Amino acid sequence: MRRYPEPSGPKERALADESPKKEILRFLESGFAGVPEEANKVLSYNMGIQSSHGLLTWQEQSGTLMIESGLHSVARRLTMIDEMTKDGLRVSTDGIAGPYLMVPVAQLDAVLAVLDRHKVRYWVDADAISLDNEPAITVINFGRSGQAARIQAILDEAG
Amino acid sequence: MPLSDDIRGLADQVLDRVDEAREFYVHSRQAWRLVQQLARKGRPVGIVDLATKRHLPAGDLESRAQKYVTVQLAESTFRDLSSLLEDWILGLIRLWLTAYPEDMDLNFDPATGQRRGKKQEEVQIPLSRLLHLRDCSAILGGLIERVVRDLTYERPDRWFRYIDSRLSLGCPGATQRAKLYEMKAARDCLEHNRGVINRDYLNKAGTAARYAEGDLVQIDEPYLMECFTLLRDVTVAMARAAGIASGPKPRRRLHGGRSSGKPTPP
Repeated sequence: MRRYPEPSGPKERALADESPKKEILRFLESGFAGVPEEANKVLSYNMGIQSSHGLLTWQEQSGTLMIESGLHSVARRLTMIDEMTKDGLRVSTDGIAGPYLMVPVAQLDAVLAVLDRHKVRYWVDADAISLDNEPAITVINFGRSGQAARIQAILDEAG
Repeated sequence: MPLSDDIRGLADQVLDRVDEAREFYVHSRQAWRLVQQLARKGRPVGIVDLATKRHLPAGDLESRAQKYVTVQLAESTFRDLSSLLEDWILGLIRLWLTAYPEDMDLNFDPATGQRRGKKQEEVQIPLSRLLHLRDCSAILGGLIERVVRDLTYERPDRWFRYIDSRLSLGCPGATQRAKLYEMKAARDCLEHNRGVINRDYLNKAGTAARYAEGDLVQIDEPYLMECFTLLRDVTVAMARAAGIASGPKPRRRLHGGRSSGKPTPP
């Protein structure tokens, strides 16, 4: 069973020890208490929940699950954007090796969840390389039969 | 040196090479990934051909690194693994036959010095090769090399049948064997058919086939790591079982009277 932390500030709302989806739905129903009004966009990419009331995302990090709201920079963490370059994730391709995607480790689970949902076949390098103390990058390989355009479209749509 | 020590020595050699190949693969991939990241970031790193003074563009390096890692490096490592499988199985057969040469002919009855039944094992060896060998052990050595060489061109299922009928190791199991057959079939396909899956692959791989006809062999990292583990597990298990099978026990006598030089009970 997961443990979730107590609220640590006005921009965080702790979740009870229940499934993320259920918790997020309950939060949506509660009228978005604590969500800044200036945030007018909802990003809940993982759960597919949308609303115009405010910004809402959820993330799972280091065993804690919490709702964070209001900050665009926080929302960007969960979209299909390369954290390092701030550009959209770009599927690269090589004519022989097939397409591949270099992605920061912090975003790996989110990207894999999208790929799994679309039944995209891939394998991930067993390790990641960190250069100049920047976030470690790993490579998602799609192999020779990978379809770069389709994968890029899936990631764009998710973002 | 007792046969069991020889078998352990061979297994250790093969396992060392398996580990070395794995490390080489992982470290090479990591080095190329580093280059790939440098190139992606546009860092001013280039390789200059001194003859042409040409710089390899960083962008070029990024896609090259991907190809080198997932195609060339993975496939050459996989080929090495397949060779190690061959070295282990055929090396074990060579060691066993050297210790127990009468096992070359399962129809030979050492008690009578006659063959049993009508079946007769044949090993073809050029007479010219035999004539310059000085003594019986040299001739036996030549015969053993011939047997091993003939087996080299056979499929792995034939290797295991050969071992089963002589050593009764009880391993590897059916699932592991099927994976080894697939592994060898994929290697043959890379070697002889540019990695394009054909009927030959499907026949050799049998139930463990991973592709359909016309597909391209893809040596992805999880599969490669699985092959490393498989080869290691099979080698360890077979070495242990063969060591026990070769231990001191009453054995048949060679040519009816002469001792075969096999280990005797203490």
